[in-house]
Amino acid sequence: MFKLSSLIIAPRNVGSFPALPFRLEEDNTSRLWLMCGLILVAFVFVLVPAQVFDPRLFEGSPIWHKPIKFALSLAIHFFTLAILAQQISRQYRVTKTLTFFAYASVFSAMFELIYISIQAGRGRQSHFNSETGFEAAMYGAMGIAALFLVAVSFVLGVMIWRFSRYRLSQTQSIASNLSVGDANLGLRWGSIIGLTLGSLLTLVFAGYMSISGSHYIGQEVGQASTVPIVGWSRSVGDLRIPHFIATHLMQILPLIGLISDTLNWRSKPVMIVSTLILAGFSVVSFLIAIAGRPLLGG
Amino acid sequence: MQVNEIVTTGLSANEWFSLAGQLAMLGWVILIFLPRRIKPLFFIAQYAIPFSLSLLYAGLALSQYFISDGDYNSLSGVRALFSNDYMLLAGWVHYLAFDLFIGAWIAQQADQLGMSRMIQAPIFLATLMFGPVGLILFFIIRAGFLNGTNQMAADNPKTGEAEDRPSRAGVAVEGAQHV
Repeated sequence: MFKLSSLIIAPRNVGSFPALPFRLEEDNTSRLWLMCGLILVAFVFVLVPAQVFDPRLFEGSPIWHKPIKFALSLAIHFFTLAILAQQISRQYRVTKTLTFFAYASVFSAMFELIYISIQAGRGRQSHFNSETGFEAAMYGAMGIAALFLVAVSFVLGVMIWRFSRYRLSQTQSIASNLSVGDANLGLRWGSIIGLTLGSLLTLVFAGYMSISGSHYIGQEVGQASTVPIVGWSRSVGDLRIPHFIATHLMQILPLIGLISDTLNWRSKPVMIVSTLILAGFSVVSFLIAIAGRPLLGG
Repeated sequence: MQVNEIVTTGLSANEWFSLAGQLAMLGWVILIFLPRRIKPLFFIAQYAIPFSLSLLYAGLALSQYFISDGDYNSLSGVRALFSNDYMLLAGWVHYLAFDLFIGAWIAQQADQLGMSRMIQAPIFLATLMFGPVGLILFFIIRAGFLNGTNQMAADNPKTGEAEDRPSRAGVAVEGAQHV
């Protein structure tokens, strides 16, 4: 039940920390990622009013769009980490390795969001900006932060692969008892492939973008038409498209796996085919972008 | 300036401004960086500094409000009020005192939720710079727990160690769609 008063008044009789929403287990790593996702959602709530009052444009889009998009995308990233991490036991979630990457990723997200928001407010570029020594240094720091953001999902993907709490034998016995397909195999492999492949492809595409020095390939036109909401170019190649697809493989593939589990499909062919299609799509969109052509022409 | 004759402390508005600012910053440093286990330290940030700043506010505002031009009734009235340096200073000290007190309240609440200091820090920076923005950030995070706190009795996570329910992750991911 929703009680408005509990927003304002302290919860009473709290012996330990309250349980996490969405049936997440209570441990440092899950709690940290969940909190990080929540504060990123909260950033959206303060950035949208700024957007409403601020008529300034930057490269043809409203200046607050970029921090809003980053906040939403990173919020989804951290909720995904918290939820998919439930597939390994608590003892593995609180290992030194995962704890280190968890804190590093959260610190990186906070740093990126704060810097991108401040630069947006100042009407300055955050990425690809080497105009002043400070901004060049911050752009470099953002690159390191971005590395941690993809490293954490890769590490989690590997950990689910190595330490998934649903062992194959166990899964099979559950499957035979319940006479369903292969229980959680779809979700499990969707998580493993989505997290590792998504991280690797993101690293490649975003790395290429940082080397090329702009997310546009080809002569960009300031006020050219863009795809609604995401703001991708309709006139030149835009590297943000493959970045977007690759990064959100981390959500799409586990979701496909979950759906295939729920519908009792055979998860192996489903996961292989959907991985090939989606990864192929991201590579194709990358090739179209570096050829300087828009994916969604206009 | 005539108001100097009324303010008998001998300190100018500028001197009071920097003193109050330093005092508030001390409180923020405690909230952002120093350990919460040291209770007297937290007491300083939560009560001692906001109380001192409030005393300063009371002195400034009560001595200046009634003899200043302007009032709280219109924007131009407020502008006239703040054309008096000591009233302007009072307004600033009001920000400092209330923002710090709200910051300390957020710190207490966030500790009860088990929020990492790494995530608390940006909230404090926001509260320090743009008070209500920090409050929004905290309220939204807190709202995410409305679901969890109410389940606490039924679903105690401490005792759930032995479970290896296959449905667990499935339920969790379904929950994600409501995010």
